[in-house]
Amino acid sequence: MKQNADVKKQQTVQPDVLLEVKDLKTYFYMPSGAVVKAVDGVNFTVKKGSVLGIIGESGSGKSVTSRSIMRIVDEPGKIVGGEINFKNRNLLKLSEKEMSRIRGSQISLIFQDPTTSFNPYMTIGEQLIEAYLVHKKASKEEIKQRCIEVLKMVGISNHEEIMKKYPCEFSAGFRQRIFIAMSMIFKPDLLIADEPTTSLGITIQAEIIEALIDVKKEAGNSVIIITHDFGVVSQFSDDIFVMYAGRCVESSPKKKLLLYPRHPYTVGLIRSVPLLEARKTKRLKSIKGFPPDMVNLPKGCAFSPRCEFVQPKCLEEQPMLREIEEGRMVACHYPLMDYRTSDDTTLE
Amino acid sequence: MSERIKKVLSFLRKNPSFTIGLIIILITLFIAIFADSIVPFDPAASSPKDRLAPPFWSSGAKPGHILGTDYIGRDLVSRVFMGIRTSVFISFLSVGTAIIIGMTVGLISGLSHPGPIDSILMRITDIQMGFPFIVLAIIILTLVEPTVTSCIVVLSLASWPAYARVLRSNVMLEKEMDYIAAAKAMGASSTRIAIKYLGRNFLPSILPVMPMDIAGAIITESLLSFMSIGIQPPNISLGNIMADGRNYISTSWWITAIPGVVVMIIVLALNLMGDTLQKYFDPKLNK
Repeated sequence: MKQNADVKKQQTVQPDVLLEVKDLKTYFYMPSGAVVKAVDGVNFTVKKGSVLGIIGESGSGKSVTSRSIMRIVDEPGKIVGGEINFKNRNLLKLSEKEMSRIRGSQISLIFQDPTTSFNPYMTIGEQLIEAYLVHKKASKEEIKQRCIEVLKMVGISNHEEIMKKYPCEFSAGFRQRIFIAMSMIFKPDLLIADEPTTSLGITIQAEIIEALIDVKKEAGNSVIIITHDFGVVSQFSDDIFVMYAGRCVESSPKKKLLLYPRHPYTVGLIRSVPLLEARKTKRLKSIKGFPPDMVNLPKGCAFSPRCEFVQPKCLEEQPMLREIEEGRMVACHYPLMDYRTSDDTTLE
Repeated sequence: MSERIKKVLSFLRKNPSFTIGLIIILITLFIAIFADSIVPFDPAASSPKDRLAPPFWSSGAKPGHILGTDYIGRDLVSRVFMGIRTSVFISFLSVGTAIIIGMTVGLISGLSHPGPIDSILMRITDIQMGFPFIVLAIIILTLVEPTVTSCIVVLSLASWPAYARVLRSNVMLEKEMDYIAAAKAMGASSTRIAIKYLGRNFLPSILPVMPMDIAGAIITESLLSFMSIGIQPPNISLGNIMADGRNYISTSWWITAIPGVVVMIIVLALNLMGDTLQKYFDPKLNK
């Protein structure tokens, strides 16, 4: 009993942990009767002021993870198990009313496509004001002041003009910046960016990432950035979390993961990214095969049909996530212990 | 506040057809509201010696009766004014009723889609839409006593299915949109989303149709009254006056023509307004 209490104490007294996701399971119950385990037992923590990058292919459960944290999973999806502890409160146990008070004020979500995330019938100003009024009553002056502040944070200065215009009058990149500003209105402790640059051009991507870095620097909040692009996570995350078929396959501090990936899937992902110094020497390698069918996941390791290092055990038994080095977790029976992505030792 | 007035004024200046329509409708509303006190004669008082007097520009016009008189010498201006009152009252109320019924049905249907409630409501709408309206109106009005209230009910039957359909498709489309999810992620409650976002986003699809529906209601009401199954004689409606002139149309055309022209002008004005509103509420066309 005493031991139990000690364990509990240890878990709750972690002052630097902002968000702890434990064994989160979100399943989609299709009308056909099939069950898609979009997120199937995911664990991660986000420390205060740190940036976590979640990376994975399309359909690996990244977006569903983010929507589960906000509890806005669309029908027919359901969060069926696990805990989401945010500031030591389990979000899954809160009532809908309590949850909506947290949404937007303490956790904000930035959407993938800025062309659809604004209401086309409301001006930018009206939407910013609405985002404020949802949580707090205030005078017009106060709200306007705050709107100007957040717009300045993302590098927008001619606010007078912008607030009067409709979303369709701006480019996608500009709208995404406004959206970042809008999600910062209440200085949320956690900002979740769900593929914020996927629908944008490459130069605009850099701008948006910069805006996110600026905002983070100024507000000092934690960020979860979800992407399928290593360029985005390598730029500003502290830890990286690799997802495959609704599960975590590898989680590690950024540098270690990029230099010494341990899971064959991570290796495959990194190898498929074009590098400047490698342009002459070799062709880019792709991961063979396709992302798995989420309704009929293979027995054993979900990655086994595509893995080049596959062993008989991989086809039989599902590997559990285990710690192989300090701070590094891998879900693989045979992690690649001596693989390096670069021979350049100065990178360490 | 003054900025808003400026905005309205510049809108009126840029859209002369809307302004013309609005002025006509304002005059119509003024006549409808103050018909009692501005009529030059008692609309029910007959004076046999002035019967079938032509309008002022024809020879034989009787002084005072600007638009002439009908077959028992009742002043046509006074009768048209009272007719406008009845017609406007009935058409506005019937469209209002239709919008309330249509919005409720559409909202419930769209939010509960897919499901049995949605199917039932939509089948009812289908039946209503599939039934020829004039036949339905004639059946109902011959079965019940044709009063002002029953006229409003019958006319609202004509347009509610359209509103229900438009709203349902809007709700179905909008509730899947990212910005609704975004509003939820910003912390807005479901009721707030329904009122502030869904409700607001319907206005553009409903407001432009509304004037045209009112116009349709005015025409249908006149038609029903002209066929003597609408508003009944001691009450005066535009259709009634036209019906009065039916037997005299070859000699005293004005009894039928003048209320007809009045209907035409009101309908034209409403359509002008509807057209402009349609353009205005489409953010893609709105410059």
